[in-house]
Amino acid sequence: MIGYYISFGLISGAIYAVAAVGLSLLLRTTGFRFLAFGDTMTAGAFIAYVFNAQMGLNVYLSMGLAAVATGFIGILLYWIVFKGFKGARMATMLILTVALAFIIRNFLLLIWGPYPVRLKYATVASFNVGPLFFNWPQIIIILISLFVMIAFYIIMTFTRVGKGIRAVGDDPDLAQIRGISNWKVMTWAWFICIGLAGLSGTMLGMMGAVNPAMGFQILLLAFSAMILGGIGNPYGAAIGGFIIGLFSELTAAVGLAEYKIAAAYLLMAIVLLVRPKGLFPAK
Amino acid sequence: MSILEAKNVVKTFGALRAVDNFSLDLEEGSIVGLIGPNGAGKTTFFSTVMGIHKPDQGEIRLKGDRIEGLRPWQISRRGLVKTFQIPRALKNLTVLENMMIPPRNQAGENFVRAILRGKKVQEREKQVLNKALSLLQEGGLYDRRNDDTSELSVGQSKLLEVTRALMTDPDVLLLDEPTAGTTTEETKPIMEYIQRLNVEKNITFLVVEHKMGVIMNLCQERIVVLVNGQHFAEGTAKEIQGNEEVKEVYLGKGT
Amino acid sequence: MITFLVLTFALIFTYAFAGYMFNIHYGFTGLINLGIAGFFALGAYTTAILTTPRTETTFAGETYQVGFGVPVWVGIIAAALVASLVALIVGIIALRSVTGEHLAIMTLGFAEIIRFIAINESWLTRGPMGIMDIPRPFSNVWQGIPYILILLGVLLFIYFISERLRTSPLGRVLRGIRADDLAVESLGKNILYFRLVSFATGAAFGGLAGAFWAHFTGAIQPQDFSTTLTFLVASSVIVGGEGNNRGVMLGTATVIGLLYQAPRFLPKIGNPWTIPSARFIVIGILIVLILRFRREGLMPKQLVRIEQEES
Repeated sequence: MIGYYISFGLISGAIYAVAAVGLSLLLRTTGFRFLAFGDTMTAGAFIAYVFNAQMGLNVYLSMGLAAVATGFIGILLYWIVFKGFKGARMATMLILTVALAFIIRNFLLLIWGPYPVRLKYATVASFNVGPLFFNWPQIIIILISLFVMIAFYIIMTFTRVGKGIRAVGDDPDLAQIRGISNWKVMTWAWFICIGLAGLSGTMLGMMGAVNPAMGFQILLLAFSAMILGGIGNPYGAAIGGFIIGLFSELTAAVGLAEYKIAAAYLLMAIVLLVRPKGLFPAK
Repeated sequence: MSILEAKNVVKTFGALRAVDNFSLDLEEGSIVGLIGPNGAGKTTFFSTVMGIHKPDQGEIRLKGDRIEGLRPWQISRRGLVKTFQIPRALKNLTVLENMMIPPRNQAGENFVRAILRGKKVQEREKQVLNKALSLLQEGGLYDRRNDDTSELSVGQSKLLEVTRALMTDPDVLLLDEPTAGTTTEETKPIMEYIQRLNVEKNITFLVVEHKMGVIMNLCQERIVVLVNGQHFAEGTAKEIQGNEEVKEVYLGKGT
Repeated sequence: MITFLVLTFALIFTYAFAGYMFNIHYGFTGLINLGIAGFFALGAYTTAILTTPRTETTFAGETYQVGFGVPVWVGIIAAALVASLVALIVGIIALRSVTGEHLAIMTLGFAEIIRFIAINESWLTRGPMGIMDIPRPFSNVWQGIPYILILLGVLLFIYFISERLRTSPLGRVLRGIRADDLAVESLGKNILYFRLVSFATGAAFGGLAGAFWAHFTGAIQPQDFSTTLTFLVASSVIVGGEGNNRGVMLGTATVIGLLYQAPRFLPKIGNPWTIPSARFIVIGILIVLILRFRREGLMPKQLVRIEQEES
């Protein structure tokens, strides 16, 4: 029985690992916490829903398309909103992201109403790998997640764009002196990070129903994962994602299913007490 | 008597050793200059002494007590205050309000008392107000007392930095470039103010400056040169001025 | 129509009351409290649990006994105390990071946890059904306009207290911390202490606001205390003028009166959720515009000028 919970924890962990990576990189590059991230994830799920349930496309294709579409939303956010707020105080940025979260969420409400949506894919019987139970779509999700993280690592370490993003994240002024074009790098960073949001949001939509009001709950989980893993370190965030995923499912395993999110949040709070910067902070 | 002693202080940021085994003894009542090329670690040293950073190694003693690891407000209460290179005037508060924040034991800082404002609160307010007004007059900012701090010129902001710090009745003041960005007319009054405070109130000063004219005039008896976080040279103003190696370091010969 | 006005005014009053909490936190001290709904809920549930007459209800086969029948004024005071105490605990955990960035997400999580507890711990809160039969003082004696005057009186009292705080030495330190916490700390103030004081006392306001709401409506449910409430309160303060006590009233009247309630008179186009969502989008865009072009909100910037008497 516990096998179900552990496998669900792994899948959930994989999803939140991807989300936390995007959130973490965004924090590192922009310097502030993007509290509308959860709602961009929901948006990704809904966009995938359009491709998948309404246009009849394959669910994984929809996932890719949704990720790209949300990536463009990220670029839009940067160019229309955030570019104009350079040098603003942290407090302003946080409130701004909350306002954006509500705008995004109510846009989704406006278009699709308050009802949850589910992505359509062929239901397959589950099989077991040792004590754990999976079905194919779940395995594919975990594989996609791992693939995405490897791709992320490659992009960040070896490509010009990735190096530029890292340079800007470490020291924006120095990066500018070295001739790294700030707006290009930022555009890419927003595309990648919000794209990851859309991707993980779609995965969530595959695993369960997604409704427009879920944004902050998802945000809390992604945030807990990121902070737990270590502030400023996307790879730590990925690890944090798995920890959070497993921990929240184990909470359900002991019969406290309603408190999954609360448990994850408390775990983060406890970790913060002991290690204010998380488990594997940057630098 | 050394009022401030720094022994073998080390502060690293990642791979950079900003302060590298630096020691400094500050005699009570003196005005000492601290100079060095950009990035030498002067501001970092100040920040470390002030408790904004914790030193990785070394000891810092204020009036004989160790202060490294304490928080800035604790160090401030023991009599040491630092001003900031870029003045940190509190925005959306008037000059006078800026001045009235520092003093301790303000009954009005208790929530219930703040609402009720009994006799005790009113009397202390009056005390603090009068002290602030007289310091503002000495420093020359009296006319601007009810102005928004964002309306002050650079020189006036710098003056406010110092005057505001004085509200804590400090024994030691670390001034980080007190005349940076000020015009020539504004520089002289600031210098004279520092000298007056040193003589009249027996405040010890450690001053970081880039304007050689200012520092040589102000700190004639002792100037310390910091390069790459390390103690490079020391002496009277005359000696430092004539020191060839110091000139090289500043002019960047052979870089 | 009168009932609609009374309801609207009660809404404005309640949100403004909570707005004063947010103003103390964010407007004065620069603390971003996204858990407004949480403190509001704490206050509402505390007073509801304490003051509702002891009743036994059966729902889905389970019997609940809720309510202690305590006098209303005790419930209200308890609401403030509970909110402050919880704020102290949350604050101690979340305010240790010097810039207080942790606070935003911690308070968000806190509010969600409060909501979960309200939904799930039915033995305490009667779960999703909520608590009904909360005593409603004055509702039988005064109807309509006089009730509005009572609310107005209380609101003005809250305004008075907030103003006293703002211009006091404590308010000075808090506003200084908002402007530049490092500078204020270098001048000898223990900023963690002051932040906690601000957080706990502001939370009391929030708890009181929740308590008043419970005694106005007579029935509360967990879904009344969602992040939407937090968003509306925060928006009101930001639109009106952060740090400005008159701004809180102006902003709340604008956001709640104009943007939240008024659209009820619009023709019902689209789906049932079209207009409601649209107004939130409008509010959100308004916030973005204000933050971008007029940070201080609608009311002009307000300095505290000290004129001394000639001695």
